[in-house]
Amino acid sequence: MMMYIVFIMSVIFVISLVGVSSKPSPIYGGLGLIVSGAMGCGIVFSFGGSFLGLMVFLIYLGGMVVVFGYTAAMATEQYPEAWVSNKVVLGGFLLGLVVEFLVVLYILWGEKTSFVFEFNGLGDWVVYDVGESGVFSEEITGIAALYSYGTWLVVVTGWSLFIGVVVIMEITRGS
Amino acid sequence: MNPFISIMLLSTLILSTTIVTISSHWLFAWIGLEMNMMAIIPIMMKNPTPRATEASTKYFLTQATASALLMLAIIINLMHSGQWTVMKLFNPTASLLMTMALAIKLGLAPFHFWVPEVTQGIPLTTGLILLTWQKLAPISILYQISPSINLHLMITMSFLSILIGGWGGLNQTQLRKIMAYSSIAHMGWMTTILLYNPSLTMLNLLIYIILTFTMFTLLIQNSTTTTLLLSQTWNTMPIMTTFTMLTLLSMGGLPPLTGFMPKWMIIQELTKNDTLLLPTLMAITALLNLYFYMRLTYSTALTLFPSTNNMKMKWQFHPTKQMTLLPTAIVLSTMLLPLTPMFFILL
Repeated sequence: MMMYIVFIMSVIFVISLVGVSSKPSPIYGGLGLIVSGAMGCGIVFSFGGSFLGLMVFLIYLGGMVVVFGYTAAMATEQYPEAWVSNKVVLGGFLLGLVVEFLVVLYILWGEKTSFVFEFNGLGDWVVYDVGESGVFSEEITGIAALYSYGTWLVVVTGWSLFIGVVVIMEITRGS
Repeated sequence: MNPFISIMLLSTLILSTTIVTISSHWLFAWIGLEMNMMAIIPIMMKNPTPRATEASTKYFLTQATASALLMLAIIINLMHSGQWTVMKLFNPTASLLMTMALAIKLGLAPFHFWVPEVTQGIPLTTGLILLTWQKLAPISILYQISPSINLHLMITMSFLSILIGGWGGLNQTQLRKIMAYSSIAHMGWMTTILLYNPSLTMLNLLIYIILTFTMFTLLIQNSTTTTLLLSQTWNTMPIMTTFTMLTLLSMGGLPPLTGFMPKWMIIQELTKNDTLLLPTLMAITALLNLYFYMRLTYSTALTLFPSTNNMKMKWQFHPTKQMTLLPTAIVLSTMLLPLTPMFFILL
């Protein structure tokens, strides 16, 4: 059951990232980004990273909603162009149906059902486990380590995020 | 650009390359590369023209793809071995992906298309930074993972780089594109020797940076961007024609000049490793490079172009720009060959 949920979330994750990269209108790009971020957090939740997933969901998506509002305000189109209005995307949809049909044929005739439907033999891809201390949850241990002897990591990541904002401001403000 | 922002971005540029070179943890190396990419983009768009925006967008997209590939390789290696140490890249898949990601960052041959496009769209000073300083970080990672790189992949990409770096510059009149193709070819020489003798990669990188610095400084001095403008150097600064000629021939690798040193050592090292076909082909394809350097030399110093300027002197007698480091750079880029033993011991 868990694996099915993760699988469905992965599919939505990929589709929404396709939406981000092939957006007909900026608003739907922001929307795809938010959906993909939420699905990414959900996948992290499912693999046991509850604190990490929650933090990313609150902070990253909190920022993303602001960006989305900004995007929507900037690109105030009355009738934004969506995916269905594009014939190429319709063609891609039909092509996807054909590919899906071929994949189903491959699974059924190639005896791959135990791998695809029961998730046997996925190995390391199911969950990446680094082992637990037994007392604390491992992500709590990691966060404690980040703030105790990983101080400079926090400094460097903070500086790089700050530089990211400065760069965006600098290149969008014009001359 | 605002001087405060300029200082901040330039210091981040220096800091990020330093982080990449000194870090032993993959996450830090990756963060350093990302910061490096972010910091150079506003410097590229110093003059916010559409062409500069296009160039920096192209740069951003290629570098972001390369960073994502690099992260993928790091994660594959992490799942395989459970550690983040830069020197220990033992998974072959991760090694292949990492090599290709760094090849994109460097502009090696199958992934070289962004280099001329980006260099042509940005100012000369930024082009200088792009073709010299920006190569340090990827080369340092390649140097550190060199024991685990696949030889065939590396040699193929290197030789293709030398070939395309020579070939692409043949019909160019734009000097920045010529410099970009020259950079691709030099990167090919550096990565060829990477698996046989990484010290020679460092030697070649050092010499390449000196030569590129000199050439770009010569171009910046007169704001020269095309062959036609270069051919009118004589009535601004006649002595510069000779220096341009010497620097270009040094880049081509002619014997009494500095540029001969890395090519000599690399061919010698390859010959010692019993690979005879590869250095032969490399030397032959380097002639393509030498050909377009020679053409630039010819139009700069050896002939008078049929241009509209009929006067011997320009109205402006004093140069508007003072290039402080130019004499030193010219001396370094032409007369270092006798110091080869020193470099060999140093590196």
